[in-house]
This record gives sequence, C-alpha cells and structure tokens, in this order.
Amino acid sequence: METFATLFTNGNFYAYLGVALAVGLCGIGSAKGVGLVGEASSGVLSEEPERFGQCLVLQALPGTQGIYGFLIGFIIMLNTGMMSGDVKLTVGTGAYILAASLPIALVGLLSGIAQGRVAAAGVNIIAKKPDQLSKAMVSAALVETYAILAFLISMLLIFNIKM
Amino acid sequence: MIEKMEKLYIYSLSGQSAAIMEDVMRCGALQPAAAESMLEEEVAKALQPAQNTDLSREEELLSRLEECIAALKEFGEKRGLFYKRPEVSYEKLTDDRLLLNVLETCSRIEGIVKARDSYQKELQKAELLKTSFLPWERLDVKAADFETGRTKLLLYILPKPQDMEAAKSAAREKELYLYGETISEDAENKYIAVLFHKEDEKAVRETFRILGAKEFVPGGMAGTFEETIQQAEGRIQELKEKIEAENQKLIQEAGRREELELAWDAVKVRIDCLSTKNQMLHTDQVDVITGWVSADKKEAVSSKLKQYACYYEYKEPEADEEFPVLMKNSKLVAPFSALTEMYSLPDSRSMDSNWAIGLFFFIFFGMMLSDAGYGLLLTIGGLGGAKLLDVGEGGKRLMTMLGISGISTMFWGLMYGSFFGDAIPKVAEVFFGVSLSLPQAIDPLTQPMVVLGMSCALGVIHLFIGMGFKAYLMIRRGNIWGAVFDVGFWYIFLIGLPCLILPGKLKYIGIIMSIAGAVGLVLTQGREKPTLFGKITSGVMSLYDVTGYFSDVLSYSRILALGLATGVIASVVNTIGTLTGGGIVGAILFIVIFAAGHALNMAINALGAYVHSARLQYVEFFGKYYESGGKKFDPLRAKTKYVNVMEEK
Repeated sequence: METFATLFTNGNFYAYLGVALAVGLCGIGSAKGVGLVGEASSGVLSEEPERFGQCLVLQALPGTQGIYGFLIGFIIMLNTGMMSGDVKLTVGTGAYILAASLPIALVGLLSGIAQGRVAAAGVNIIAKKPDQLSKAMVSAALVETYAILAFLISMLLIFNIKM
Repeated sequence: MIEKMEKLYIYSLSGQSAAIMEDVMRCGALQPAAAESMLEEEVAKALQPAQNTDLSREEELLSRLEECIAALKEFGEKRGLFYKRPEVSYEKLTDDRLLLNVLETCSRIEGIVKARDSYQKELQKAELLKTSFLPWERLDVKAADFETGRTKLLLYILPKPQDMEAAKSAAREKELYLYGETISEDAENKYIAVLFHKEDEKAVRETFRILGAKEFVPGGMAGTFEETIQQAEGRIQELKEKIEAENQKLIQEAGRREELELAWDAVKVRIDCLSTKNQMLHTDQVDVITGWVSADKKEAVSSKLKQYACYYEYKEPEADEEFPVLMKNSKLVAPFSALTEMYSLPDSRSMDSNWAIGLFFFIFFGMMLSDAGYGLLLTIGGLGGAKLLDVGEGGKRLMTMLGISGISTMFWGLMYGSFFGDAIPKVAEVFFGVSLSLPQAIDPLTQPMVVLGMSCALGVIHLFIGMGFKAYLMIRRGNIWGAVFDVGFWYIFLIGLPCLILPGKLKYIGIIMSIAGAVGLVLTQGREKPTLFGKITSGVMSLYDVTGYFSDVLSYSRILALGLATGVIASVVNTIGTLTGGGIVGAILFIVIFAAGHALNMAINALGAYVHSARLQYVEFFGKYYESGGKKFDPLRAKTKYVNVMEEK
C-alpha cells in the first residue's frame, strides 16, 4: 500500500519530480522573460505598428528556455517509459534523474528572466535605431549561452543514466 | 575585398555643375564629400563658402504628390505580395516633361479631395443636427411659434430621476404658472417642453437651473422638428451621393497612381542631386565638386565628365586617411556580407573577411537547424523569394543568404537522418504498418559526443582562421615578428596542449610543443612593458588567456545543443501527431498537427540558428582579429521608392 512516506522510497516519484521541475521552472522563466519583452514592445508598437516583426523576434528569444525544459522533461518521459505508464525505477535511478534535470531547471528559470530583461532593453534599440536590431539580438543571445550549456549537460546526463 | 577609393576633384562652370552631377549620378560611383575636408586648407579658405540651395519648391511638390498618392491608394487595385515595381530608364526618370503632365493631374486630384473633404464636413454637421433633434421629433410647434406676444416656449433636457412632476411642484411653490409636457425620454434624460408667461421667464429659468436641467436651443431649425429632421435626412442622402461621386472620380484617376509615383521618385532624385550643391565651395564662376570614387568605376565617371567643359583630377588617399568602405565579393559570398554590415563595417585599412564569415555561417546554421525538410523549404522559400518578390536590396540579400544556408541544412539533415524529424518512419509505421528507417551517418541522440567533438573541432578551425587573419594583418603592416609572437606561439601552445592526452610517442610531441609555445609566450607577451619585472609578470599572466580560448571552444557546443533541440522537437511533433493512430481521422489530425508543429519548430529554430551562428562570428571569431569602424560608401545614385531604375549597360 502506498502512503505518503513510501513515496520517498519510490524511484518513480523522483523522476516525475524531475520532469515537473524542468518543465515548470523553465516555463516560468520563459513566460516571465517573454512577458517582459512583450510589455516593452507595446510601447514601441503604439507609436510604430510596422515594427511588429522586429519586436516579435526579440520577444521570441527568451522563449527558448521553456523549450529546453520541455525537451528535457519529454526525454525523461520517453526514456523512463512514462508515456506508456509503465515506470519502474529504483530510488537511486529516480534520484539521478532528478539531479540531472536540475541544471536546466535552475538555469532555465533565471536565464529566461535575465534574457527577457536584456531583450526588453533591446526594444529601445528598435525604437531609436531599428537597423541595429542585430546587436540587441546578440546581447540577448549571450545570456542564452548558459541555458544552452545547462541543457546540454542535463541532456547528456539523462542519456547516460542506465534505466 | 575592400574596394580602393580615390578622391575626385571636379572644377566646373557654375552653370553646368547641376547637369554634371545629374550625369555622374547615373554611374552611382561618386560619394560627394564636404569640400573642406578634401581640399588643402589654403585652397579651401580662398574659395567662397557653400550656399544652401533653395529646395522649398521641390519639397512642396514632393508633399503634394505624397498626398495625392495616398488619396489614390484607397481605390486602386491592391498590390499583392508578388507586386514588382515598374522598371524605368534613367532618361524617363529625369525627363522634365514628366513633371509638367503630373502637375495637372496633381491639381485635379487635389480638387477632388478638397471637394470630398468639404462634403464630408457638411455631412458630419447634418448628422449631428439630426441626432440632436431626434428626441424632439414629436413636438409639433414651428420654430416661428416658440415666442408669441405673451408666451414663450423653452426646451429642457432634464436628467433622471427628475421629471415633469418635480418641475411642476417646484413651480407651484413659487406660484408660477406653466404648462409642461414630456416629449420623449432615453436612459439618462427626459426631454421636456415648457410653456409660460413671458413675465415669468426669469423665475422659470431659475427653477429649472436648480433642478439641473440643460436648455436646448434648436439652431438651424426650419418649420417643425419633424420637417427639419426630414430636411436633414434629405441633405445627408444628397451629401453621401456627392461623396460617392467624388470617390468615383478618384477611382477613375486610380490608374494615374503609377505616374504620380514615378514623379515622386523623380522629384526625390532631383532633391538628392541638387542638395549636393550645399557642399560645394565655389568662386564667382567655378564650382568645386569633391568626392570619393570607387577605383573600378573611375573610367565610367571620367567618360561622363569628358563631355563637359570642366577640369577634373583624381588623387589617391593619404597613407593614414580613412576612406568610405565598399566591400566587393562574388555572388555567392555577397549575401553574407549583410552579417558583417549588421555588426559594423571593417576599418578602411583592415580586411574584408566575408568569405570566412559566410562559409562558417553556412556550416553552423546547417548543423544547428539540421533537418533536410526544413532545409528544403528554406532553400525554395529563400531563393524563390529573392527572385520573385520585390523586397528591396536588403531583403533580397537576407533571403538569398537563408536560401543558401538551407542547402547546408539539407546536407546536415541527411547526415543525421532527419526529414521533418522522424516523419517518414512514423508515418510508415502508423498508417501503413511498415517499419523503415532513414539512413543516417551520425545519430546525434545516441552519439552526442561525436557531434560535440565535431562542433568543437570546427570551433578550433574557426578560431585559428581568426587568429590567422590577425597575423595576416600584422604581416601586411610589416610587423612580422609581432605575428610570430602573438599568433605563432599561441598556435604552437594551443596545438600542443590537446596532444598531451594522446597515447604513445605523440604525447612527447605534445609536451615539446606546449612547453615551447609557453616559453615563447612568457618571453614575448610582456615586450611592451618598460621594466624587466613588468615584462616577466605580463608574460606569465598571458598564459592565463588559455582559459579564454578554452571557453571560446566550448561555446561551439551550442551547435550540438541547438541541433538536438530541432530534432527532438520535430519528433515530439510527429509523436503527438500520430497519437490517434491510423485511419482517416488520424490522418487529418496528423496533417493539422504536422503543419502547425513543424512550422512553429522551423520558425523558432531557424531564428535560433541565425542568431547563434551570428553570435559565434561576432563574439568568438571577431574577437580574435576584427577591426571595425568603417563608414559605408554611399554613392550618389537614384534612390527610388516606387520604381526600379534600370542599370545602365
């Protein structure tokens, strides 16, 4: 019989927790980042609606963290058999999966917000010098580097856990 | 390569300098520059300062044309995605007769617009009158009967919940005698008419003021309200017809839009041409025209100048003089120069490295997007779009660049065995029950280390080429030893380090190279410092830069990460699409999810691949050698908005 206490000795629980953290935290980070840029864009768009395309590009940039988190979650689901509902993990394996999901979960949350702030500031560039958009994009991409590195490590870790 | 520039000095008679400029403009090879900066100081001082040309007439015409074009825009046929601007010869664009004809059209259209505007204003007035009179429609008193010898009729708008009873009782308290009637009411107000003896007017007004009522004075009333409203309705109908008639006239003129647009461009070109005069120093009879000419177009410019009675000479720029930068590249590389321009143009004394930027962007973009299906769409869309759409020079370059990069995307997609992710095997399995798999050279999901190694190896090559450029620039400037010290020793050191982990005797090569490189760096990197202590410390400290190279190389691991992201999202889309299984319903759902999911994945990952490929150039590659700060060569030429000027043979 499962009680709340046995949950902590159940490997599956940790794996599910890993999925939840990766998808959840990265999603929050991206939502916050994309939201920040959206707010800043409205200021420009109220004056110059034709800049919508450029603003959209900046707004899309902090969205990638959410995708990375989603991917890690999805890969855990595929590799552990959560999709078919047949999950049997030892406590050790489950905990490994949880640990492996942490890099992207944490970095995704914080870098999503930070990238959103850089991109939102970049919206000013669109307002004043629209031809310099690429510089705003590159500044925002510098922040994303760390999310990419975290994603890479999470992914390599999960691929190499023996289920 | 960065095109050579020469300074051109033209000394022409004042009367013909405008004609000369117009003729030279056709070559598109002269960028006028302020004479003060081009002439020697004594010469410049001796000449009279430049005068501002009066362009107010041209500018007024330009704004008139703009308004007419805007008026016709509402009615003409809509220009679709595939609209191409008409091709026009230079002669036609600068033909004076063009403007004469257009002036007539212009004033005609202005007349129509003016009439339409005044009708519209009148229409608004009539409609306002109608809406304000409507509540009183039931009151059948003529305007002339509002006041008789003894009595007077006033109209009041009484805010609810006040009503006629409240007014009457207030009147009774003051012993006023009046007759009141509620004509109509709406959500907020009651509309009442009050009849009273003239002597009581003041007291009546006071009573209603206290109740908060607003007097309604019917202006423009003829006969009863009903009659006035009917008249207004007639007038509204009539005005609407008149406006429609004016619009019909505009529809008939809609065909003139091309003509007006051509004229707009002609005037704009003329203004550009005339305003160069603002920079010309002159004497009473001679203008001095100065500017930069790209060396390969020298002949073309000279042949134009020979037709005029003027003296001209070319001068090479001084050894330390900056000149405008024009980058010239083959057709394949040219689209990628947009990447360099987005960052900042190279210094005029530096080098054009577009071939390397283009090559590595091509490779990196392909590896990051890495899907044969997406690559195919990108190539067709990009190259087709550049050919079929009139998107201007910048848009064309961007599309061509993406189209070319699509080829690399296809290549890497085939290497990874990815065509819209795993669409083909999934469809075969779910809908046809066949199990098949695409051939693949590398599977990034099961062999990520191979792709990671490849990415970093490409990164090393990329960085080494960047360092090579730095050495090339140093050697070209005569600093051969600098190139050996700053680049050569780093090459030896950086190649030696990874050799340390090789097995067998190769390890010793690694040891020798890394020690030799390190010693060389320690001895030379502090050579600019004045003291011995300073030389040694900065020499030793320079070895710490190796961490910079390490992180630069690791930065290329993003190629693996973004490649994996595309592939995995694509297969997620396919998995979701095939969840419902086979059959017709399944097929329909699959098509919908497939189209939307892959469109989204392609858009997001193409953007990511573009930004991150550019970043690898800007941060890692440019950091090694790039000298920015050049000013773009912007020659005088026909810059048109609505027409395309045909190139001269």
